[in-house]
Amino acid sequence: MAGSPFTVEGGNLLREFQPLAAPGESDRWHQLQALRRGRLPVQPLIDQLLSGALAPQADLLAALWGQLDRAAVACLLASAASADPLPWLEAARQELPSLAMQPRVIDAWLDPLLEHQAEAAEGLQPIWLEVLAHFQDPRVAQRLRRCVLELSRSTAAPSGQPDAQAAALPLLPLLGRQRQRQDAPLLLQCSLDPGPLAWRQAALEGVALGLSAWPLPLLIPALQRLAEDLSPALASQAVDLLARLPDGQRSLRWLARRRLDPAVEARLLRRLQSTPVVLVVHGRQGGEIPSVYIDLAQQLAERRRAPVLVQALTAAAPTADASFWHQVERAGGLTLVPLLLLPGEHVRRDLPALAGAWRAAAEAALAERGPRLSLRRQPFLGSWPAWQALLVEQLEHAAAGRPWVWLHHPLQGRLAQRYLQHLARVLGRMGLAAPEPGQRLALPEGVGTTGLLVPLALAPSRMAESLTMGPLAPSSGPVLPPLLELPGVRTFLLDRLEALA
Amino acid sequence: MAAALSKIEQAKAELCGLELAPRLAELAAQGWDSLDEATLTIRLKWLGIFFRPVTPGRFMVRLRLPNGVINADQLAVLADAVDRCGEWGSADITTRQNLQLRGLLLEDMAPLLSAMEAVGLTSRQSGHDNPRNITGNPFAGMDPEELVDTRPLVEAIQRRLLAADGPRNLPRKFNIAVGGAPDSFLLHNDLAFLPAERAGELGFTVMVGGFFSAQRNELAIPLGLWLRGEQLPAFSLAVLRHFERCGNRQARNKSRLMYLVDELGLEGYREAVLAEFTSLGEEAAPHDGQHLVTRAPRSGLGVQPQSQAGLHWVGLSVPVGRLDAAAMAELAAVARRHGSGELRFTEAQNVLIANVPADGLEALLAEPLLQRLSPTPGALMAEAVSCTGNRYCSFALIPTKTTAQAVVEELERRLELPHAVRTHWTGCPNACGQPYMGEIGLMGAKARHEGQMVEAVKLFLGGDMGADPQLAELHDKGVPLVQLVPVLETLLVERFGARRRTSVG
Repeated sequence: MAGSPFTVEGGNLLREFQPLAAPGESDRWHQLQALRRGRLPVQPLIDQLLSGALAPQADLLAALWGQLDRAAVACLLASAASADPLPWLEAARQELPSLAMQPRVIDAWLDPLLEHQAEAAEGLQPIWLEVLAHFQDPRVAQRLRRCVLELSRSTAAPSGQPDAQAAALPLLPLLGRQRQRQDAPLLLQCSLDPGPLAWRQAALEGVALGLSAWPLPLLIPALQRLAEDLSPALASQAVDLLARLPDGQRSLRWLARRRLDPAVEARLLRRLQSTPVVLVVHGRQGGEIPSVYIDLAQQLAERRRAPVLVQALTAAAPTADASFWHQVERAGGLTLVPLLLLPGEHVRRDLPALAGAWRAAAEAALAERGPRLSLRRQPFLGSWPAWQALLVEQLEHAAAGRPWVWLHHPLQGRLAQRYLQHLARVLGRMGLAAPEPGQRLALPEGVGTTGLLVPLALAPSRMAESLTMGPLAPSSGPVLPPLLELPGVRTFLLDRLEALA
Repeated sequence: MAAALSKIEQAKAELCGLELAPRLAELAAQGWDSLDEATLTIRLKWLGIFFRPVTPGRFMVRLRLPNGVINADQLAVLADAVDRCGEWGSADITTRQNLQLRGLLLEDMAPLLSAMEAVGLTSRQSGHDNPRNITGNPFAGMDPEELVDTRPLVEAIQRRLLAADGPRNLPRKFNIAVGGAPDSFLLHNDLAFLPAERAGELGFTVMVGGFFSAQRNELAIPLGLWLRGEQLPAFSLAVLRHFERCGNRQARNKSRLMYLVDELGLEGYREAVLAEFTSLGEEAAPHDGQHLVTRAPRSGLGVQPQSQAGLHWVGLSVPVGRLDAAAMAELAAVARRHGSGELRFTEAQNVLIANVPADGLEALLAEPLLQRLSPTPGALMAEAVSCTGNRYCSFALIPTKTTAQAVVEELERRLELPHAVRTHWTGCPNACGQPYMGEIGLMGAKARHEGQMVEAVKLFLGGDMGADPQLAELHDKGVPLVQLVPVLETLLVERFGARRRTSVG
């Protein structure tokens, strides 16, 4: 192959050695790429590094990392080429993250570097330790642990070593990457203890990089404490890490009851996953859903940042799409809220069947993922004490001193009657069953023609309409609009429903 | 005897990265340090997950956004993922109308991919030796100058290529694009379909072999075939199946499609692809390669009337294409509030908010977000395109994005320009920032300055994406970054008609 730039070595075609272009020359980048890919002979470069003819520049060392055997590494580390560890460190930072798990690279470098680091001058040892720390190995972890421990103790002392600590910041994430369970207390302590913010942040990044290796009983309380830290940067990252843990939502909900920095609280709210909600409503004939419910659901979905469906008892179940089930999976469940005001047949018979259907749908949709799901079934709205208190307040306010009477759908059964009696006590007056078709409404004495009629319904309904139009309408009494059209009722529901887990 | 497989080919042959999808949570629990090199640096890219040596443990996810289309719900999911990464989190709009998210932990991957799937997003096969995100006219479907709506075509091609029998082990990455307007410059793609007429019918002429690399830069050349829109998916599949079977797997630096075209000759290549196409039951017509792309791409920034009466898109400049979580979330909210919730990413790394009614423009333009993402940026910022740079890429020799932003801002402070000037910044000779397409191209380098080796750029001039496309040529092989502003200032004054602002001292 006379005149050819190639030579054959071990069956491989290699480019003949050409002198390495000086730093800054155009060819150098291409030459080093070829070297990195094993397309240039290595030995002439090693010889030049050993003789001092070639300076150990970081880009050259980086290209050599994956190409050397143990003997060559030992020679280079024993030579003057290793006198200055900084180019080695720069090269290690650039190249080792993707090479340090290769058996060939470990075999070539780990033992010689362990030896070299131990024998290096004391001032240079931390730099060589960082080079070494790119390899995941118990001996490396032990040295890192010792170094971090010493530095963390020194920060606690009044005469600490701020410079040494600043120089050692990269060691903390590297200790985390070693993923040795025994290092969890040290890294968490470094994150929690008072000290320079950069040191604590580096320790927390170490926690992040080994996250799945740490024991949860140690990790969760430490992160919850950190979430209350005075430094919003640390506290924010702690919240984000908690959110990534198994059952992290429970830890976050605990935090939601604590006093946090406003920025951290905002972050916490972004991390809290709300369950999708199914609002069960009465609906109208033919399955039509009054628009007030649709509006309520849209506003609620925006507030909860989770899907909200409306299911009418008079219609088939709404379609839950992939995004709905995804959120169910993320939040660990879904919530069923019956926006029903009375314990009629629907509450007693239909709701249990409907809950069963949603449970079955969830199992079918998420069967392959095997999550732990809960169907959170809220009591019907009319039974909420806060709702009853709100009714008193809203109706008294709407009546503005006029006499008033509340009307309800006719109900059967003892439970329903007990409920009506209870509500009558709460509202301070008996309710009237809406008249059957063909009957006129008989108003109690004192309500007269100016008293307020209050149909107990959230949305427009036949009962309410029969009071304002048609032959059954009473002579002239004003009728309260559907309750959801009252701003106070709407706000109450949005606030309460938003707050549901 | 067959040549031994390279390390990369061996890794690909042993296990397709797509098989890792169900094991992501398990891999995260093991920890990324315990993954073998092939899984970590090669196979995960089939799921769109990139190990980043510069930020070990903090991964990148590259999506697929056909035609650069995304909706507010999808963007909100991605914003949430970036938000979880705190100060590590960011997202870059790429030169393929795509988005890549940074700062993620391996623990984030399983839930993120699941969240993406729920809103109709995927990151599948977005990296390594795969057909990359397919680009199209960023204004498709709303462009008054539109020749063809590229969205359904791009989606159909992606669907066909990602189907169960699609290619999974190409010899190298592969770029495909579909043109739909007179400014659809796409000749930097391995396979480009440009709108063209044949016997009075509008279809596409096929261009092949465009690519940029450290070794060679080529614009695509006409293959001499014409296709109807509905044929594009099958033809793309034919090209990729042939490439998968016949492409060079021995030398990765000679494995892009143009090398195969060279090897077979244009005629031979055409015959081979046609045979593959015919085996799929299709036929292509011969064509002279003339097409309807006649000028350089529009920026699309500012308020632009759509083809639909009463609607507008509003193009916003994203400085060097980088977004943080807050900006992403706000973009989604603004698109919902004032438009239909649809957004587009452009190859110039900017974003468009689509379908804004005329009576909503004023409110949109008053949004605080537009203080950061301006609809009316300076003449340089509007078209400053940049690769990732050495903050995240170990090949890059300079921090391209921060340098580009600082230099452009300073130049705009000093100069007035009569028109936009397209600058393309790239960190190394791999040319991901497409420096050869810029009127000014800048490539990271090292140079000696005052006795020290310092960060520098090579300057390229003359890139033209108009009717007579040209690649930029080397103008200066090493300008230290500290001297870059005055050097560019002089260039802009002398060659691009810039005037110095008098008020700058």
